[in-house]
Amino acid sequence: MTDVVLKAEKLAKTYRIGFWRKKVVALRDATWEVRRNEAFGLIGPNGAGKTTTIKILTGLVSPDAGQGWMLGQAIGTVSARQSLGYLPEGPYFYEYLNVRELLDYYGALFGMSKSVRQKRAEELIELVGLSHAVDRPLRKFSKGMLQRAGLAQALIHDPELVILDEPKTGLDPIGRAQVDQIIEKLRADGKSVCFASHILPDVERVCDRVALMIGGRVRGVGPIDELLNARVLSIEVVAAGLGDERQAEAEWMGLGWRRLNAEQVVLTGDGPAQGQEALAWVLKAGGAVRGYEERREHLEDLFLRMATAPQEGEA
Amino acid sequence: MALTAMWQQPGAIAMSTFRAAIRNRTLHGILLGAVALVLSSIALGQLSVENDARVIRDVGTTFVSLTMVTVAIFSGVSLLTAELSHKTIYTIVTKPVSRWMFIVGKFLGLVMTLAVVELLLGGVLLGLVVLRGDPFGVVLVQSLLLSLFEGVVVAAVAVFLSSFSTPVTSGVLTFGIFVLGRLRESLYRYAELSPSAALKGLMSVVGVVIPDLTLGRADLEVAELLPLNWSYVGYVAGYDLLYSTIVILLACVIFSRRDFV
Repeated sequence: MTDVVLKAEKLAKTYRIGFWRKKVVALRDATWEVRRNEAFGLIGPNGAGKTTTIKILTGLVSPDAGQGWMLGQAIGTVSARQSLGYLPEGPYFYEYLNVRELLDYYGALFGMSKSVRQKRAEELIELVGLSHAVDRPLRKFSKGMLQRAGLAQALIHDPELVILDEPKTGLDPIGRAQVDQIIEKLRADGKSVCFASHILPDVERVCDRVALMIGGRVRGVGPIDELLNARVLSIEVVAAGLGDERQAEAEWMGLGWRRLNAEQVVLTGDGPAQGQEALAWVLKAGGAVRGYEERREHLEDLFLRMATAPQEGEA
Repeated sequence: MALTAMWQQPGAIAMSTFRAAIRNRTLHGILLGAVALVLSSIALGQLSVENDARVIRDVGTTFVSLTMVTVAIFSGVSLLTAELSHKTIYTIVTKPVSRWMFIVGKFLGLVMTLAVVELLLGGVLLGLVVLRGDPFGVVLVQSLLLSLFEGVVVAAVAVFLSSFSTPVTSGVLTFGIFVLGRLRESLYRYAELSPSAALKGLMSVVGVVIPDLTLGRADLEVAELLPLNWSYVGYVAGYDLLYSTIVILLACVIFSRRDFV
């Protein structure tokens, strides 16, 4: 238990919306945990229940069922949030403040002394790349700059656990890379990071483990490598010296044929066995193999596989 | 030390609320209009044959009082809804800040704003009286204090209602409660004279729920420059403080159960 910094156990939430209080199930039986010093990704399409889960864990929303623990404390308690840093999706701040005043305010909410707040604010402004805009009111910030300010406020008290909801929304490529660097730095400092995103390559690049959520349910939890199907989905052979008269023969063997340029063609097949056949055939036909690649499942494939798989209890 | 630490967060929220309020352009507009109204009491005073000083005191304190109520309703109902609609609350209540700390901090910030508004408008009115060389009485200061206490009660009601309803509903209901509070004595008298048991029953409920805002009225004393007993001012302050505390406690209870979707 000591190695677990955040745990969701069978969390469930149903919202009631509109005049007729129509029920909308946002979350069912969500169970997963974040371990110390790991980067954990909460992934899923829009409406999957990621933000609801995060809101429950941060105390913004109370669960209908289930429970959670944060750094050894029950979620929803003030003490549980003492070492939590949280960046909401699309954050808004008091527009009349500048980033220095904003960080000072949030530091005060953690009970930090004035001198510590000032020192920490300067460090974070530098870290998130807002040094050029310290005196500018937040109403004049772009979406990306607000996101950076949001990241800084989440880190003001040097938290043990950081929860980031769609942290890269609105950021340019440089900003996105900076977020990756900040997450890496947090981990190097022994912190734990949990972030929700639907930008899968970002999650794949940064996270150790993920929880895949679809339709309010957790459809898979674990290290990305374990969740991904190990089997080879397709192969590609880049061959040189094969004329177009060979295309029919290749297609008869079940291989795809795509001419890359005057000299090279790309042969595609379904799996390693077909790859071996393709390699042997290229050599037999007098061609030369310029490249061979096996394509395995990516997070995006897993995402689509889970999204289309029938759910438990479904007909 | 622990007590000081406990109040650091509400204190920070109160200061932030106060800073936001004094930068609010709508509030600037209300204040400019109020100053103009207080000064317009000079013109109204001219309409009186011999009692222009009395008219200035009477109209001036009334305008100050109504401005306090306007600011209390306007700021009170937008206090929480602005945080909710702009989602700024997401980054506050996810810090080690209890929901009650948030409500109390916001309310204290509003009380600070009301105090500054009272100082400004009261300063203008008293300055006007002194500059004109009109008779000055301590009852003017007492009346301004009573207006501040009334503003605090109305603000507490506005915050309470906005903890679970929309700004428009909260605003309308707060105004209604203010009017009932001011008419309480008349309503009581009417109910006593009425044969309807239902009306009498209704008034007994109103007597508990609706704040008695007639306590803070000192129109006659202001007009005649009759000083109020300070113990009476203290009694009204105590009543208003107790009523506001209860209402804000209820707001804390409701707000602590809210989901921020």
